[in-house]
This record gives sequence, C-alpha cells and structure tokens, in this order.
Amino acid sequence: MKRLIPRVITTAVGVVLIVTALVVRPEAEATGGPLAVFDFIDRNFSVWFNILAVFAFILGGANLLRVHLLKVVRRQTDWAFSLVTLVSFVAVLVVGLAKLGGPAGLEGSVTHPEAWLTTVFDGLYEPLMSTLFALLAFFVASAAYRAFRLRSVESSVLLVAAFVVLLGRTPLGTWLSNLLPPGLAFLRIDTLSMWILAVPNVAGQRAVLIGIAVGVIALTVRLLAGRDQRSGGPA
Amino acid sequence: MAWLAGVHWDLVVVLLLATAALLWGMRRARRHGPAPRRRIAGLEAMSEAVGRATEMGRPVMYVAGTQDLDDVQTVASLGILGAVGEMTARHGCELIMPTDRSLVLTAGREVLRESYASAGRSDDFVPDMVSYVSDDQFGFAARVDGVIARRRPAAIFLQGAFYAESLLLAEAGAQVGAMQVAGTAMSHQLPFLVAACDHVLIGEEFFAAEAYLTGDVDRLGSLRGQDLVKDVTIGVLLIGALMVTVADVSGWAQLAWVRDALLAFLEG
Amino acid sequence: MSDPSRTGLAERLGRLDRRWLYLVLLVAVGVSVVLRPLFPDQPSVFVRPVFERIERLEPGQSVLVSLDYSPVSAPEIEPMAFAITRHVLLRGAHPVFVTLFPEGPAMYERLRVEVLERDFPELVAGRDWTMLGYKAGGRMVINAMRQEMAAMFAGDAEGRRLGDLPGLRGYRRLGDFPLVVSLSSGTPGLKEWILYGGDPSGVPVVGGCTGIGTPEYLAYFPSQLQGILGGLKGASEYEAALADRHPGAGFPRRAGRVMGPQTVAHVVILLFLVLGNVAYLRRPGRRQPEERP
Repeated sequence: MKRLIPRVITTAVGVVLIVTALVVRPEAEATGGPLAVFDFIDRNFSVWFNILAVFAFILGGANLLRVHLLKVVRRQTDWAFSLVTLVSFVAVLVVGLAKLGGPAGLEGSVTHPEAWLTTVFDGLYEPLMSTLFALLAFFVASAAYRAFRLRSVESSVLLVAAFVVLLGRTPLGTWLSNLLPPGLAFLRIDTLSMWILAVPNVAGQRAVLIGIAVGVIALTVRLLAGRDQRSGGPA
Repeated sequence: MAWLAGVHWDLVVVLLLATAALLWGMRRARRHGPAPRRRIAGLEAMSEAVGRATEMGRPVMYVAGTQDLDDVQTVASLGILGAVGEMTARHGCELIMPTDRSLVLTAGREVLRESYASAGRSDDFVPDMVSYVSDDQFGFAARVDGVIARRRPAAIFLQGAFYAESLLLAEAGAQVGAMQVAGTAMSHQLPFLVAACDHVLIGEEFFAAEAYLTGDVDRLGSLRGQDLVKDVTIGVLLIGALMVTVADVSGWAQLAWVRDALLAFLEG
Repeated sequence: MSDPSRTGLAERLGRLDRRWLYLVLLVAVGVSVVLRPLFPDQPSVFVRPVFERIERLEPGQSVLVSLDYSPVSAPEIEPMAFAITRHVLLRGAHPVFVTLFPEGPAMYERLRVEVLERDFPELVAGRDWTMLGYKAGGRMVINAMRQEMAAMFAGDAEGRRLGDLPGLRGYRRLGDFPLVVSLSSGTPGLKEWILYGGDPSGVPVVGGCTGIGTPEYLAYFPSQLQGILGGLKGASEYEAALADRHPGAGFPRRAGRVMGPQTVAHVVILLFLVLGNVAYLRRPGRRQPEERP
C-alpha cells in the first residue's frame, strides 16, 4: 500500500497533465465541453506547483542547519567551516526576513538600495560569485593546455573548429580576415566561425535534442507505466 | 464537437507512435530477451572507479547535476545513483553526495536506502551521506570543491544537468587525481567535461546508462523502442527534406500540395 | 634521431605547473582591462533580427523583458539588458520587466539606476516602464502567464495594481505582447520562454545568453527563436548597431569596451592549446597510454 498509493498518484497526475498539454490552448478563450476540466487543471496546476515549490526551500534549510549544527556540536573535522556557514545562514535570513535597514521597514522592498540585504548582496554575494565564475577562465586555460590534444582525427577536427570559433568571435579574427585577398574571401575566419556555429553545430545540437526528447518520452512512459520505480518514481 | 478544434493532433500522433514503439520494445525484450547493445566505455569505467576508490581507502563522490527533480536529467541521474550506490555498498566504500536542491536530497536518500538494502548492507546506509549545500550555483560549487580538496575522493561521478559549475567541479577533481566519469545531456558543457574528465556519457548514453548498469529488461527494451523512434525520425527527416526540395525545384503542384498540407498539420 | 634539446623542452612544457598558465592569463587580461581598446563591430545574422524587431516597435507598444540572470553572468548579459532597454525606450515602447531568477530584482535595481533613471530622467516607473518582480516556479510561471498575467502578478513590484498600470492595458496574457525578450544565463530562462511561452502562444521570442550557451540555443533559431545575442560579442554587436542607427543617443558601449580583454583571453588560450599540443606531439614515447596525474 505504501508503494501503491504514490505510484497511482504519479501515474494519474502525469497522464492528466500530458492530456492537458495536448488538448488545451491557453491562448484561446476557456475551453468548453468535456475538456473544461483540463482547462481548469491547466489554469490552476501551475499556481499550485508554485505554492508547493516554496515549501521545498524550508526542507533544504532545515537539513543544512541540522548537518552543520551536528558537526559543530560534535566538533567534527573542519567544524569551523560549518560554524561560518551557520552564522552566515542565520544572519542573512534575519536581515532579509526583517527587511533591516530599509526605510519602510517590513512594508518596504527587500531590494531597496538602503536595505542591509542589498549591502550583503552588493558587498559579499556578488563579488564572491563573480570571483568563482572568473576562476573558470583560468580553469579553461589549464584544461585546454592539459587535455585538448591531437589524439585522433576527431579530436583534430574539434581542435581546428575551436581555433576558428575562438578567433572568429573576436575583432582579431575580423582583422586577420581583412588581410585575405578577395579571391580567398571564403576563408574569412569570422565567416567560417559563423558557418561552424550555424551549420555543423546546429545539426549536432538538433540531433542531440531529438535523442534527448526520445529519451525523455521513454523515461516518462516507464514511470507512468510503473516500470521504473527507482528513477525518482515512488520508492 | 467544436472543443476538438483545440486538440494538438500533431503532438497526439507523435506521442502515440513513440509510446507504442517503446511499449513494443519493452514487450519484445520480455519475450525474447534484450537486444545486443554496444559497449560504452564510460559505464564500464564506473565499477573500475569504485574499485579503485575502495583499494585506495578514499571516498566516492556523486553529484546528480545542479537542477531540481523536475528536470529529467536529474531523474535519470538518480537511476545511475542507484547502481553506483549498490557498487559502493558491496565494496564497503564511503559515498558522499552533496546536493543543491531539497527535493533531490530527499529522493537521493530514498534511492540509496534502497540500493544499500538490495546489496544486503542496510546497516551501512547513513542518511547524512547525502547532504544539502545551497541552491546557489556557485555557492554549491565552492562547497563541493572544498570537500574535494579536503576529502580527496578517488572517484567522482558528475551525472546530470550542469551549467558553468561543471568545469569548476571537474577541474577540482582532476587536481586531486580522482578518476572522473561524467554524464550529461547539456551539450554546451560537454567540451569542458570531455577536457577534464576521464570518461563522459554524452546525451543519449547518459539516459541509457541506468538500463546498462542495472540490466533491467524493461529499461533495455525501451532502448530498443527508442532506436526505432529515432530510425523513423531520420526517415521522416530525409523524406521531408527531399520532398520539400523536389517540390521547390520542380514546381510539381501535387507535391507542393502534400508539402503544404504536412506543414499545416505540423504547425498545429 | 630526436634532438635532445627539443625533447627536453617538450618534457618541461608537459610538466609545466598550471599556476604559470594562470599567471600569464592574469597579466595579459589585466593589461588589456587597463587599456580598454574599442573595436568596430557590426551585427551578425543572429543579432540583426533582434535589433530589427525592436526597431520596428511602435510607440506605446509593450515588450516583455525577462531578466533571467544573476551577478555571476552579469558581465556578459547586463550590457545586453542595458542596450535593449535603451533601444526599446528610444522607440517610445514600454518595457515590462519580469524575472524568474531570485537575484533578478537586484539586477533590475542596477538597470533602473544606471539606465532608466540616468539616461531617461523624464520617464516614470509604472507609467513608462513596469517591473512586475520575481516569481518562483520557472516554467510554471510562464505557463500561468500564458493563461493570464493576473494569475501570477496581482500588481507590479512597487505595489501598484495590475489594472492601474498603463503598460499592461490590453495585455491580458503572454500572447498579447508583440515580443518577448529573455536575457538568460541558464534555467529557467530562454529555453523555457521558447518552449512554454513562444511555441504554444505564438508570441515571437528573442533573447540573449552567455557565450557558452549560444550553440545550444542556435538549434531553435530562426523559427522558434527569432534572434539571439550570444555572449559579449553579441552584446557588442548590438551596441554597435544601436550607435550606428541612433548616433545622437551617445550611449556608452560597455560590451564593446570589454571585447579587448576577451580577445586577449581567447588568444592566450589558443597559445596554450598550441603549446600543449607541441608538448604532446614531441614527448618521447607518446604512443604509450598517458599516466594519471
């Protein structure tokens, strides 16, 4: 029974939502006749989902608090990092919920320029996130140096394509292309770069998209048919 | 019957045909056994990676992407997690799974609980092997990189939907010498994962991974069904392209009529 | 016979500490950031449709602009948001902002201070532009907006009721807008606007995304996605087009100014690619499998 009920709910909701997507046109006026029930579902399920999604945040926050509190209390390895996490978590939560610093207090906007949360956002969050993102440039450089090798014909093709696209997406590519005589205009790096993006890339992307879409349908059919309990289906 | 005018008949037809092909594949596999399948090096490397971690006495890390449970890649990843969980349970190897979504935390725990139970090692299952970090993309990446640097896992599985954090995670793994097997359908992250990981499951391989790893007849059967759907799609694409080209070049009125009718149908 | 000095160099290159790479990149990009050269640019086939669609807007028409990015991707996406907002307002149209990212309201604040209030001081919030605010739920929010804007938003972010907003008069649902612009750095974003907004409702969708995301979104171009600004380069092309068509406006070319550092970074990475391959091709016994680090 513990397994059956969630499975029935999954299948029923899944089938109803798929049918809704197939029969309702939200851009038209409300669907009448026997499809009115699907119209109702289409209008309301999105809102219900949003309400449920908000509660999921609490679940994560509670786990975070529990895991790190235990670590601090038990003085486990690296407990100091957990303490920093806990203090930051509680401090930002209080600053945000109480809308501290904003001129209108609880009535005002949490993103008001004078709100403390804006200071936290601009002074801490943004520089930290930007720093981490900027690290990518260094990691790309070292990964390119270490791993992007002429091992086979395929990797050589990839390497040449990478060269053309990297150069073609910069003013240097245009400048170098301008040095070519008119007869060799088809070799312009900026034109070749656009061609790689618009033709071979799009062909590959669409093939991957179609493959993924078929994979998604297969997973959905297995889930709805109750043949796939472990993949996120009711365990 | 005016209400029928709103039905997306094109989608209905495509969905029914695809579902029929998938059910056919599953039924066929049940009756005649699964069809032969090609080798996927990345999948074979998974058990090797867990074995290596066990020998070295270092943990295995599993990251189920950075998207929520409503992303089908996360769902597929949980399937792979089940298989990896069984391997770590059998080998008695520690598994760490940081998550960035509350729902993935809950689902991940349930999947692992079942894996450890089916491996006969229920006592080894500890709920805290799955932990929540942060919904924030780089907050999550920073924490996971920290764990990688401190715990030095010998095997890292990056399976699921990733964005810019993919290279941050994969490079951190490469720097501690972990054997890394990635899998994703995010085509824009593939170049990074290919450069930084030992093996990568690309797109469909990623979705097929669970079927390969578990050897489940239904899942393997649905792979056969998927192949059939793709074969038909390729055929339709070729015929469509040829028909449109011939209709445009030759000016045959009948062919142009068929082309226009099909396009009108597909545009719903 | 292999030249020992060459083999030695290849070996040294192969063992090169990655921190040297980091240092070279840091210095090269740092110098170009200080110099900030400005290069001429022109819109590509992907950017031109976005520009032309906005150029064809009629005064008073409302455009939905979704700010689906965070500070992390702001260096790439924000110049697009600035340029497109300026363009929409120059045409006399009314931008209706919305965001599916929790960090979106903060991104809007910067747009408000640096563009709306600085470049268009005569315009008024609520009357000449609207900010509906952030809603959690991603694709579900788009789905609900397709049905009815009021199902998701009772009013704007500053508490004005939906019925009192001139920019939303006659715009009951998503399909009523002449254009949706999604400036997106991930999920939920451009893909969701195409699949759950544009495709079912027929509203034209254009957008901007990070450079890395561009190849994926091109799969939807040109029918489902009518135009796209790909990364800094796309933003720079758009700014150049805006400066070309509206020379009197004199807006700063923020993306154009950072194309120099980006060019330098690309060239340095290309150099590393070459060096890495020289080391690989010249190392002794390269036919044997590589060892794990």
